[in-house]
Amino acid sequence: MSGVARALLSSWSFPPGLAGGLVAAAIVYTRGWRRLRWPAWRLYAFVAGLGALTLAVASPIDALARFLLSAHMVQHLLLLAIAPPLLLLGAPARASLRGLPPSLARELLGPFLASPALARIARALRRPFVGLVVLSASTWAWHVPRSYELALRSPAWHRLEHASFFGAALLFWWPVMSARKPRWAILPCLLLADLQNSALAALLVFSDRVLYASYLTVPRLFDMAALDDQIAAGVIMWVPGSLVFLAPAIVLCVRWLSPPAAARARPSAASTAIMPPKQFDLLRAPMVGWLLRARHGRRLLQTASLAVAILVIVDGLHGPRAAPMNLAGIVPWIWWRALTVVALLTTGNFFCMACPFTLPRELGRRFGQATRTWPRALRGKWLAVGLLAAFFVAQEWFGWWDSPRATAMLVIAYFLAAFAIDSLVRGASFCKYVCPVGQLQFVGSLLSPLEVKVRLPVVCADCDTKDCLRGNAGQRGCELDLYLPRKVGNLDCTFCLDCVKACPHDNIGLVAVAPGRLLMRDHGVASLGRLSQRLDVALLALVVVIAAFGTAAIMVRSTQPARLVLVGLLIASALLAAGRKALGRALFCRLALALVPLGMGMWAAHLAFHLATGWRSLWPVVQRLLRFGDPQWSLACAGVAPDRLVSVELLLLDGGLLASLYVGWKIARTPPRYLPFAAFAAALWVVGVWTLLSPMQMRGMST
Amino acid sequence: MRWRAILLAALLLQSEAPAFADGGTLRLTRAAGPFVIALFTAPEPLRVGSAEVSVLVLERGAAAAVLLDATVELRVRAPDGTTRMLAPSHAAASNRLLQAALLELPAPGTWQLTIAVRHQSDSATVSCELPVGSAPPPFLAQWPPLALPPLCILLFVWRERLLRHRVRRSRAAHGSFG
Repeated sequence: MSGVARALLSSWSFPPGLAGGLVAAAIVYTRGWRRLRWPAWRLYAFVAGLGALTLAVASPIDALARFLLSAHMVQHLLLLAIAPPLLLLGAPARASLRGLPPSLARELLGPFLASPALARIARALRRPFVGLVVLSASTWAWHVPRSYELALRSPAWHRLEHASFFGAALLFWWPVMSARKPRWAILPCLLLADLQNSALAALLVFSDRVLYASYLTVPRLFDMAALDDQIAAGVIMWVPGSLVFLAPAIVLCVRWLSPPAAARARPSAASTAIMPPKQFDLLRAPMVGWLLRARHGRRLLQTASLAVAILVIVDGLHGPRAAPMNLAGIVPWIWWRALTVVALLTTGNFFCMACPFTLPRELGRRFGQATRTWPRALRGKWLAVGLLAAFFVAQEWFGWWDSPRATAMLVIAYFLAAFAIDSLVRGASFCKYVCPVGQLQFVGSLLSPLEVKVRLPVVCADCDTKDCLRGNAGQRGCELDLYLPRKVGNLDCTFCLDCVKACPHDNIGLVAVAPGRLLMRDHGVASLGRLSQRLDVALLALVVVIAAFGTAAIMVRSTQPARLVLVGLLIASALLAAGRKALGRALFCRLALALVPLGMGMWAAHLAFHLATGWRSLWPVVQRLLRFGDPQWSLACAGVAPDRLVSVELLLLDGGLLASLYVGWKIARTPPRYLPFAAFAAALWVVGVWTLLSPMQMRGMST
Repeated sequence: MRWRAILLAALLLQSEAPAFADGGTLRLTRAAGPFVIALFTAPEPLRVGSAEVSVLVLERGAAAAVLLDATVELRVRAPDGTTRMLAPSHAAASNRLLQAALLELPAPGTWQLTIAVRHQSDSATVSCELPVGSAPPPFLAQWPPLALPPLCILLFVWRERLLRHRVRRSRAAHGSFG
């Protein structure tokens, strides 16, 4: 194979939006296809359609289209006449609806799908002649030289061109593929579509001049003159382009003219029954499930994180003072914070599962005299609220992120506090009432898609030993007093899995749930009661949310506006206190929790920035510690942020805002109760946008 | 749940693909020595920030073969006189026939770009000007993600209205039967 051919074949490009969209479409469709128990050919057709789409916009054809009109024509053929009919053969609408989470489909799409007005518009658009007109108009409009040149010059217009081709083609092929009535109209539409296609192709083939001037100026590849290229493009449009219209016309003719086939036996109701969705349970997943269920599985994770914590302490105390060159400057502030937020939003509270501070707690219990119970007056989240707020303020005030020594001392203090408390007090009091990091994890885990949960409630109804709570001879029960049949959500759950190991019926799993479901209903939560009555829990959530914006805003390079923003946040906090009085305790508490998605969106955006710009700094530090290689300290300098990073950050923030607004609406339900909340959330979003678009200090990095 | 993992993996495994898939706008096509050199830039118009510069080197003559093994160097001179050297590569280009490099343009004005091409014993140089405009306001540059919340809010308001109409229709229908 020649070098040029090899280079061309490797010229694939996958814009993230396209790749994500294709993968999401494939996943949603496949889920729906499985639930509907459709034949395999539908899946193959849909996947082939996605493949054709990928070939059109991501393959070397796209790379060549800049130079050759004939390659560009192949691209258009794929978009107009190959991908849409294949996709439509898979009946994507019904399968995709089934493939979406039912609550999402019902809540968000249901009202649109049930609207008579929209149904009338959809019926009108699905008429064969409407599709023909739209397809023809789109094809001819974009082949006018001015429009074509515009698309060649501008990527945005080029994308619009492709999108309009694809959309118009979907409209055209939909009635054809679904043999919609009036059936008699489909055949003339196919023939007319071929006619207009052939007319345009003939213009290209028989023209004696190059219609699109760009192809005269661009370097000619493969020794092909511009006019020859145009003729080739016309031939591609004419011959294969006609076949894709004539072939289904012939098939339809044959089908309609043939004698009717014997009626096929209708599939039985059982075989057409839609498969109920299976609940995903991580504890039943291969390898991962085995590790988590293993007796010492959690211990293994804790030991690994303890080893990292010890290294952080040692390097923080004895290593270089410059944070970018020290493990204590990089691991906690760049890697650990980002990875815990990723874990919280994609799986669950795995930090608490692997918490290194659990081991000094175990030592404290073994060697101490843990006979006392936690003081009743402190059995709430008030202490945790104060400690968490103090943690965030101190982190910024003392610049812990910039001082490996201070970070090491902080970790040591954490170990000592965990040891001291658990050597004196029974139960997991440190986790439940004290640990600031744990409280942040609990709040974030309200959005986690995994929850430690009972598999079959009927099994628990027959169980009177309550091993999950009380434990048994071989295994202790939940130290945080979470009784599993009444447990809803992840608040106060450290993912220790003691309940899983204690349950004699193997009835507890790490089950997939709708993220944030606890926020929308006023459940009674095991060990916490109704969250609408827990002002301390509400304030804990508010501390997490406000800290998300405050710690990011303080990084903005021009500090004067950052101070203004912080003052603004303090004013907002005062307003919230006033709001509490005005809205009443119950509504205030629930709306405070509704802000958690927005706060976690901001945390995710902020920490993604640190990880994206500072991830490379770990390697030279590891080289220094292990004394091998020649550490390239230039990697400790702040990396250039990837081009798309700001867009990703803004999308994370947007996702948080939209989720918060949705949850807030489900709680408040009426505009007078909702609008102040929405205004506050929108104001926080504006602060977040301003922060993310402002130049940042590269903290913890050399600049 | 595993689907979320697949989707996340697909997004995370995005290679460091150049921002602009097709090389961009053709800036010049010039014959120089034994070569034909074409320069592409993106975005269009060029603005303060990052830009992609791509070079295609062809053999001059009837065959116009693409010279994949040509060495290309770019010398960029800013309006304030500072110069930088860039070494584009095929790996950085989405179209592997081209050699691409990411160019940081920190200031507006007219930048000078010199392309030096070497292939075996031959070499040639071409120069051109790159007009760079001021950066758009950050919120304009990021308008798609900023437009998303208002758009979703509008769709949601529409959804609520449809829901209310449906409830009213249903009540009216029950009322007529009642």
